[in-house]
Amino acid sequence: MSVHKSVPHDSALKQACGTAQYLDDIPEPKALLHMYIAMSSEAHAQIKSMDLSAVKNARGVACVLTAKDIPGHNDISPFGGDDPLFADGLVEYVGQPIFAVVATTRELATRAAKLAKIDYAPLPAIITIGQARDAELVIEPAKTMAKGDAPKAIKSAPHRIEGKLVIGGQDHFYLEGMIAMSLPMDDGDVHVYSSTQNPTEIQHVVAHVLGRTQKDVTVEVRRMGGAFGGKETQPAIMAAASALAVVKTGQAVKCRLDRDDDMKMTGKRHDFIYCYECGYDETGRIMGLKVVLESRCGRSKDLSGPINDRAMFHTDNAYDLPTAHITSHRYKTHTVSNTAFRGFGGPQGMLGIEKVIEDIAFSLNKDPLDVRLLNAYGEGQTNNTPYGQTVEDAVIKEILEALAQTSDYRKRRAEIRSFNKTSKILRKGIAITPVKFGISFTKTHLNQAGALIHVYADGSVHLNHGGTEMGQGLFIKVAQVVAEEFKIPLAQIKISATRTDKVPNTSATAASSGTDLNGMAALNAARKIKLRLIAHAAKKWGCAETEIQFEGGHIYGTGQSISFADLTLSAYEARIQLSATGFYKTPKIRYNPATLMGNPFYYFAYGAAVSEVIIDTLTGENKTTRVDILHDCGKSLNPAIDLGQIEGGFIQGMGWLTCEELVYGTDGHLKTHAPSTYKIPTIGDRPKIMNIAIWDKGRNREATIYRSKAVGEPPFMLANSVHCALADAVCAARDYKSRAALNTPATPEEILRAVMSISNV
Amino acid sequence: MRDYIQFVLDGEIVTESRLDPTMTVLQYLRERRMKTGTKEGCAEGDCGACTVVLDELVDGKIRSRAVNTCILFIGTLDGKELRTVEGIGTPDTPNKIQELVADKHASQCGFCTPGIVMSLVALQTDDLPRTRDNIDEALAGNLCRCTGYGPIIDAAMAMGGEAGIPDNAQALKALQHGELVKLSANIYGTDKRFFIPKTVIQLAKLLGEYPKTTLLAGGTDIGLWVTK
Repeated sequence: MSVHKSVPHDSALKQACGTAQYLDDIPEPKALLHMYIAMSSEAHAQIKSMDLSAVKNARGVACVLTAKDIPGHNDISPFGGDDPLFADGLVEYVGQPIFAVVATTRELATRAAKLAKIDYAPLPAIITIGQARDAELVIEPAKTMAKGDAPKAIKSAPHRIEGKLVIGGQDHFYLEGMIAMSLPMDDGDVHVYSSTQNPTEIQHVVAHVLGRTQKDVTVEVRRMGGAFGGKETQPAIMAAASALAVVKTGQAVKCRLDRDDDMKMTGKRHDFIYCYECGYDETGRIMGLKVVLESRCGRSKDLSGPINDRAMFHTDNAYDLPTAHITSHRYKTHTVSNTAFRGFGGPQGMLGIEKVIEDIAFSLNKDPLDVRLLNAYGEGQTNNTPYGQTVEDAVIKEILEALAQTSDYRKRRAEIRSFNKTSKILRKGIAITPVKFGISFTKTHLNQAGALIHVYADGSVHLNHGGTEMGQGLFIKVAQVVAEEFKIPLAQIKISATRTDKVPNTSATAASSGTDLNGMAALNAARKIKLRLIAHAAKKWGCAETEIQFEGGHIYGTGQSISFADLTLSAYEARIQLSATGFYKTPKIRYNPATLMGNPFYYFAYGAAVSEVIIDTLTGENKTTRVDILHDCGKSLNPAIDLGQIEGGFIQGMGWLTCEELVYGTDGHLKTHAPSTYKIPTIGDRPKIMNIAIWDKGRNREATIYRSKAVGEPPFMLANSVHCALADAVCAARDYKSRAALNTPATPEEILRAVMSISNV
Repeated sequence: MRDYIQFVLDGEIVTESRLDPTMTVLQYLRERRMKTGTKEGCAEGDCGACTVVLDELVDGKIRSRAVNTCILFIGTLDGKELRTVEGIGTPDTPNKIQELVADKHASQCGFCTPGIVMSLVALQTDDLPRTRDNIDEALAGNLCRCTGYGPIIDAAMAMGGEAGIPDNAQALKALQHGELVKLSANIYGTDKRFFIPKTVIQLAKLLGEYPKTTLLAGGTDIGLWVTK
């Protein structure tokens, strides 16, 4: 079997030897020019005048590009129509591209850009969610989702509680920064290498900017050095600007951002303010929940609509809400336009309800696990989400209970409580949290994929599909699917770069859907070729097609056998087509974006985590000391790759909730724009004990590729347990007498603030 | 005074002159030698994607360190040996550490991987016991955004205890000839000069001649003046 096997990432050894080519490693074409993109220094201003003559005359400069040089449309937005490539008169965030310099070297381009004289007329800048709320500045109208009459249920409930949580944003910090290289081709066409999760969109955007059609632009990406959602829409800047420069100069142009520029110029995870009001009974069963979500979207729409929709779709997380009322405000601010990031709004929605559960448990003096189990989807519940989709595979209780057992949760919780009685300064906390994450793009039409497979006469196979590789292991998983179909060794399959001229009209590799979609499309293509080979073998041997078997690199039938390579040669000589395209579209999803009701998701992925933490109540210093995870990957296609996603997602989520802090000045300047000031988890932050298991009962009830489940995003939210554990430790700091709001990221400063806020009560 | 620098690059003695003195080793590797295995992640010495191993002879013994090439100026290589991720193994003949990193699933997107591999090479040369604390210390300067570090720790634990004396220490020893050891060197670009005095007397003489010169030792600050 090639599937359900822990095969290493196809590029792992090349990566470890430094021979895997990333975009900046591709041998450079003749007379390559380099681009620097100059950015706004103002959060909100009119550009009164812009004198670029000194820039143009600087040494090595080939050309300078502004909005006026764009032959097509000055718009690189995914659908909002509101993202200019270069600011045209108005700037709306610090870091917004204004013009680009193209020169013989990157250094000369960078230096020349500093010679620009730009005169700004500042306008009032709205930086925070609060300022936007006061100014009523939005990127789109608020949305509401309701199930039953939540206000009434809350009013009549025996217990009521309300609270607020401030949830921070997050920079993607992919190790490979933004980069594109464009080459001039015949007929004025452009070939664009782009580090992008979304080649088709880059193709569309470049054509749109150049005033050409999609056939004139080819986009290619072999691999990215990480993406995490940050390369879904944002690479359009570098791709479109370099392509424009190609048209102007007739030479190849590369645009590679410096880390600081990358962090200032490109979008991040949305920060949220989460406010709730909840009514519940003596047992802790929720009767009604009212939630108001407010998010900072930045200067344009980008993907903020669907991201906030997904936040709303995940306000229930794994909990059955008899009544719910969810409002989502999407604020416009004069900061960089926030964008996709692993979880896509889900983490913010889910973190909120975990706080609700913990608050309820504290008020009733119960173990939060009991409140979780009481409210979780499953037997005896309505199993109806606030958006009307039925939860059919309510397995979360089973996963929670299994993990509580293997992790010794209850015993450890008791031990921690007794430790906290005697420990003066150090306090521990523990929490177990579930994950239920909806799988599918909420924009229904995106749930499609294509593949292209060539079988050469010598039996070797060329595999291509619309998905992109960013380290997540998509390419090896799809190759496993094809190897399994032909029953040939993986080494016989060439995994190739994603290109818009091989498979057209593809969706971003996003929403955890890469393997679900592209694996199925590749299977579809492989099966077409396999059926032709079966027909050929049956004819050759004069037997029924049903007698033909593929096994171990050979084809068998009526006592005869032939190697795969000999059969493909024979098929070629018999003039049989050995190339096929494949296609897939996700079934069963239907959903009304206007009312937010329906079945937006094909299925749900589940998981649960227990985190144990320790805090220093005098300094706020903290450490996650032990983590236990049980995660549902369906029937895993590649357990090693899936475990990598689970652990990596968890640690990235832990970073979001603990050490990664985006600090904006009141003038809109991002103060944390490099690893010196923006702290992602390091090796020392990894908990000393991490027990990670894939749920062995996992099997997708839907007919996904080999019954596997998507795994890219769901594990990110397992880290919510770290935040809940830290809040528990903060509560322990004052002997569980009162609970303080612990905002995120729970940096030492924030933990100390929370501890102090209780002591001051 | 000699007007060239000499160092060992992946086992070969290299002589260079007329290089821009503020060219970083990373630029030199990627743009002059087409050794693109070493990556730029942040260009400020924080992420570790550009890590290589720098060997030098100290009292006749080889001292190996993992260094960030993104803020290391080319002149500082004089008399030393540089080992890169391409130099220590290839996919056909990988170094044991490279093989372990791949087999233990310690590389996802792979962009930090060459730096991680080289930090592990330096750790192996140090011959410290493979404890989690020593591994954490050795990799403290390498950021990975994908794996969560667990598989990297597994690979490091599996490295085995034997000290990895550089195979090519012969070249480093051969490099220590009279002219290189005794004479101060200088390289110059269009508007800058870089002096490498070998003795205190040479240093004093140079400072007398160029009193406004910038002194560079580690260069973690001065490197940023150039890259940022």
